[in-house]
Amino acid sequence: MIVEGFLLFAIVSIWIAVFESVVMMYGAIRFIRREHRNPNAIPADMDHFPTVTVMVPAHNEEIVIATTVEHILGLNYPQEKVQIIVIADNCTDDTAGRIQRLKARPAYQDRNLQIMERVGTGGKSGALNDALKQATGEWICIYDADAAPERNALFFLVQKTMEEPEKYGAVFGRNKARNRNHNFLSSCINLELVTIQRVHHTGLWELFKLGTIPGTNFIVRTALIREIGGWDEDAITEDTAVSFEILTRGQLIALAPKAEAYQQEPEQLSVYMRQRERWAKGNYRVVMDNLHHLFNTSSWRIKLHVLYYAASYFWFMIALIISDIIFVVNIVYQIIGLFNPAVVSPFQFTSDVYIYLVIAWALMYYIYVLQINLALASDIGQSNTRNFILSCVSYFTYAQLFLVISLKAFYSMVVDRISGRQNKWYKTQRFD
Amino acid sequence: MQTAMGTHWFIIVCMVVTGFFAVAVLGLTIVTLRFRARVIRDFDRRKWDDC
Repeated sequence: MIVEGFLLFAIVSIWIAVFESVVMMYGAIRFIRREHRNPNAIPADMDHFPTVTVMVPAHNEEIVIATTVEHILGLNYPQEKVQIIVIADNCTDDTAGRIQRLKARPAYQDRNLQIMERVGTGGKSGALNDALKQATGEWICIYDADAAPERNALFFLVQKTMEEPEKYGAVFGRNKARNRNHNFLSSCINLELVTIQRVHHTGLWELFKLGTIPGTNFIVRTALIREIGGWDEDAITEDTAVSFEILTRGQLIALAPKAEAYQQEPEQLSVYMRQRERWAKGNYRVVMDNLHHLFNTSSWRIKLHVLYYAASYFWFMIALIISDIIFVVNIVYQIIGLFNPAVVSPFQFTSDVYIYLVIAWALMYYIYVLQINLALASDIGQSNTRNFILSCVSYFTYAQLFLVISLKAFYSMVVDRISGRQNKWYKTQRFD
Repeated sequence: MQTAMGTHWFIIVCMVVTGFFAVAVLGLTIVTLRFRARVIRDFDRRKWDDC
């Protein structure tokens, strides 16, 4: 009876995951068709555009910071309307020095570029909150220290806000992996990025007007972030926490698909695992802090947002674990059965139901591959044989890492809660 | 048709749901392949505006 309960839970959970994927793909396709009819039009006159404060939090980022700030200085936006604040946060390297030397160049001497050397707590959130006190722009734009925004990225972000100025409290763009072909890991990360952004983000926005701040390459109204009280310095994933705060205030987080920035992705497995464990742990905490919205009078949009995150981080993970256990155990017992026919698997189901579990799993795998290839098709130059093979292989390799990451993050979160251990801000390693 | 759960209603649910998903996935596959073909054709002619 217990085993059959597991089987029922696994099948229904996989069906829900497949249904969610079908809905996301439908939304993404509708979005792509609509966006294709919108021509690119960049006006020569941007006098009516609002002022923007671009903030770049940087902790020991001497390797990448100068390139990032040069990209920001080169943005196609009225220079007199852009204030740039680079926060050298608790740096023990030459981050501040690299920016000082950049600012000393004749081309940039007249630019509104400030370097804030900060010593304090709170990690990225603390750095952003300190810079917020000096921000003068109507909008705050955040770029991570490894970001390389494309020349019109800020223009596209701001242009989107002007479509619905009363409703849009924030706008986010797309982030691309600049080192996507470095190795197998970075190639898989690229597939994940492309799929999340070109299928899930677009599907969620097209169908439900739902968006989530990604941590970099986004803008938020200055008055709104001040009303929220700034960034949560206790949150490991400050972007997810702020997203919920914005939605709670009845504002939307819009998607500007043409606003693109390049970023570095981890190239070593250990660095990747630490980064993703931090994200998973932070998102678990945000989801649990916002679960109450499901049971109170909050808007349907917030409830859906909470459900989407809760389903991704809890329910589907449990379903994957159960279905993986059932398959692996049965394979092992099949092999043992070749030598000792008397040994019987504990997961012996009547054949009809088990077949539908296999079909459900096959559907889930197929739509996993299909989603990736739809996303690749919409990113020019990425839909090729190599990426297709990678999409087929990644489910059995890269995607399985999520189970390990989720379990470790969940365990770490439980230990933190029981022992009162404080969260430690971990910075992703950079490279040339 | 008896299952270990003592009823065949769940098999009927499985058949209906699986049928729905099969049709949906087939449709999405056709759309994806046609979209990919169009992007490759238009990109070759430098007409595509990245969406």
